[in-house]
Amino acid sequence: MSGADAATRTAREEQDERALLERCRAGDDSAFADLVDLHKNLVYGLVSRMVADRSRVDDLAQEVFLKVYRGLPYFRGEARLSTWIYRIVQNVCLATRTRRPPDVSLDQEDRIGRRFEPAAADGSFGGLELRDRLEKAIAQLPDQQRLLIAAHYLNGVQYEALAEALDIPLGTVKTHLYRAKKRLRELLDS
Amino acid sequence: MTCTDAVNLVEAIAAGDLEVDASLRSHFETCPRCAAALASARRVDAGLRARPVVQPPARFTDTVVGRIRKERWQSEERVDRLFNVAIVVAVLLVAGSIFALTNVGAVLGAAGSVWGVLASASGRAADAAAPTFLTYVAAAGLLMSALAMWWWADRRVSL
Repeated sequence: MSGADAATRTAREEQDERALLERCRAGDDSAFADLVDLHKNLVYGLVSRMVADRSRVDDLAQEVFLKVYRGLPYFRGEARLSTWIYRIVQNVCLATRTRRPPDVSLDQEDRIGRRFEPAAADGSFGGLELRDRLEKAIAQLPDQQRLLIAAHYLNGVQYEALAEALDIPLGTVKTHLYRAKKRLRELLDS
Repeated sequence: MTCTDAVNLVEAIAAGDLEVDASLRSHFETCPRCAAALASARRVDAGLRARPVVQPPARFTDTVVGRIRKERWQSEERVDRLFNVAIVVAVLLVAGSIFALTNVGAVLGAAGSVWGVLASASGRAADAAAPTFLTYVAAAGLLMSALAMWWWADRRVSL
């Protein structure tokens, strides 16, 4: 696709988004349902990756859209809707974390007595074990880095899209992601 | 190429953002520590890519729209309740003022009270009217506020 095609598509998407927002502001429930349909996979995916308590994901994802609805009259449209939604997801998830989880070593026993061993010398991980250890390590990252990791690896969101969505420079996105992954590597290898 | 340089690049290499050139390759081939760091970075990247994607339930959109309708209805109900209270207070104030005015007249007319006798006719009227007039102003103000609130709520509902 050429740069001109991409620019045309982006302009059309922005126009569609503005029209949808106008319909939502006019009290059109079906327009808001369309907005939810457009962004529910993103929001649900992000929330499920940001919040450790799985039983709260549904409620928090709904809370994100309620905040979007309440904020619509004040959304000036200077940023993309997705940028605003990312911020709301971050705030909603942050509000659920009244305190940071304790800095537990990943190779200690967890609350139900399972023991997590450090990476084997030959570097092989059991799939489930890696996932479990990885989730614990991710939970120790700062919120901004957790959101970036969640968004980037959710349906392969590209750096450019992420930079645009979060309204931060492309280089900053990459730097934060590398730092986050370095921290994960250190936590998993410790 | 130093170990510090190489280790700082392993995340970019694991993510596929950086091509491994000859100098980097030779470093990773000869340095077990940096090679282990690269392998570890690749495991982290693979683990992140393999995280399950949780999909919203089928009726998620309906549930959200339902919650919004309920919230809107509750908000309208709150405004209605406030409006009704304001109307009742305004009516009570007006009725109270009329009652007070008629009562003062009756007392003055029937008993010819000391206060009424001593005060001049204009003074009496002014004294009687002053508090009543203020009450009317307050009631009118309240009524106007209630009507403005009604107009505002009606405008919000129609948005």
